[in-house]
Amino acid sequence: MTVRFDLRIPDRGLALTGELTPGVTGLLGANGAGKTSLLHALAGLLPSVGTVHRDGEALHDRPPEARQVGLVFQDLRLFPHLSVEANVAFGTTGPVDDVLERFHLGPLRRRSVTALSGGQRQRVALARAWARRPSWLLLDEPMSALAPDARRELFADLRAALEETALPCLMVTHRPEDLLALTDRLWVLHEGRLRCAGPLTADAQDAVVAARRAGVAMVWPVDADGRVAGRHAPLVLPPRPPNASHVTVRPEDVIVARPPFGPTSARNALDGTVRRIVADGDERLVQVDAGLRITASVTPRAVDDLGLAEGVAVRLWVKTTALRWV
Amino acid sequence: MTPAELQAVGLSLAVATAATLLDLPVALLLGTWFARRRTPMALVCEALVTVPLVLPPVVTGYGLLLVFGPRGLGWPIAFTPLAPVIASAIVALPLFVRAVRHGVEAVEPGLVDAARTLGATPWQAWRRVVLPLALPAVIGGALLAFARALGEFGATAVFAGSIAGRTRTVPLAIYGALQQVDGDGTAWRLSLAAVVLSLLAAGLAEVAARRRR
Repeated sequence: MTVRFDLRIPDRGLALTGELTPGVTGLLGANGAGKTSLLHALAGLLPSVGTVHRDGEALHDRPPEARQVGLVFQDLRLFPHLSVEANVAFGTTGPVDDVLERFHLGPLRRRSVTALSGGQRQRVALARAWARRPSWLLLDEPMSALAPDARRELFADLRAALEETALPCLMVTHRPEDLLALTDRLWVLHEGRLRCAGPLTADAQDAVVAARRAGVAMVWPVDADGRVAGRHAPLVLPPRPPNASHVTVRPEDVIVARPPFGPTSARNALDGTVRRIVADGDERLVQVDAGLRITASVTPRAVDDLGLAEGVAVRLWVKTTALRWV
Repeated sequence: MTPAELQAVGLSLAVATAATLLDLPVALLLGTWFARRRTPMALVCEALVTVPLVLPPVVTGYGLLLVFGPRGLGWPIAFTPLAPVIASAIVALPLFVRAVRHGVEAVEPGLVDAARTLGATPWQAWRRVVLPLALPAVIGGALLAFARALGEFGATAVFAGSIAGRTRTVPLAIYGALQQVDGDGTAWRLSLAAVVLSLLAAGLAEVAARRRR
């Protein structure tokens, strides 16, 4: 299943061409670049000129209800007069127990959607699109406004669901972690044009450029000796897959330590100094200069207990398994 | 109350109910149209529908007489029991349409888009999303139209006359009683009934309006 499109949205100055293949394509772009416009035009909600084909079948002259697309809106758009279960079942006639189960909504099924937390509402929006058994998916920042824990949890469910079905999926996101954890390819929407930055695993160079533009700092080139970013002592890395040229690590997988240092199972130790500490929701991002710029995500409590502040010397521990090739 | 007075009250309730039911589909259609489409055509139609709200009801009745009378379409409606229903329906329609319009306007258009991507046709999206969300406004509008129909006098007097048991609603019966020397008791009792019924309908309309918020 592939979805091929060649669309112009004259009002927005957009001319967008692309081919969605099975798997998750991440869509990056500055605010106002037209990411949401592209999704809505593909779904038939925004007037556009051009073509959309799903496996050679023309969709562009069909109304939204006949495009078999699952669209998760950025602002969710749950039906406020319906229960969780009725929202999920809106687009389908069959039972939705398995979908409620998959997105952990079973205990909430009778609740009104107006009485849910942000994370729960997000789950309902995903489940509602999923229940219709769409043949392709458009997700507009499906992880926005979620606490880190809720995001990780929803990730796992979404990843599992997507891997099972192998649907073509276009996902708008601005969060580096979302991109690295969920996407197989990357597109960048810039100045009204779509650039395919290539698969995250094979053609990493373009992907890295695009990822950096989106604020993903922790993607480093690795040379043949395993030296990261060319200037650090070799790291103990997992086996290198073919074509992989960069490694990345998630901020929550970096451990921050202050002396005295005891023995540890983590294979990679990087000494450096704290450059900056910034708030990220309930967590604190500790930016450390250790030859590489590395960011660790820790709790405010840890910041206090360790006495972390600008200029403080720290040692960062990174487990080998936490380093991922791209 | 005398049998004639009870008959007037019964007829008033029947006429107001029939007029409200007659208005319901029209108000839903026009209210939705006016809320969603701001085309010149819609604006002209909206102005036309609003006219009976500000026109002297006697003029509306005269207009109906011209349209349905012998020199108009020639349908024998004037002075039949159908006449007060039509007159009340037309006078009450603007209030109903406005209430529906405001109710539909308050429904987030994005919800209709969401319903469409979930397989709903425009009609299904309206029935399953817009109508339930606008329902308190629709009920409020219906009660307001009902109350207005209960009080309708001018258009009915001209178009339907005051035939006992056929077109003599409470306002017409009160007016008739006041023309008679010994009609004070009737006028008093029917006025009391009118006040009670109007308060009831207006009060329920207010309750519906508050539930919306």
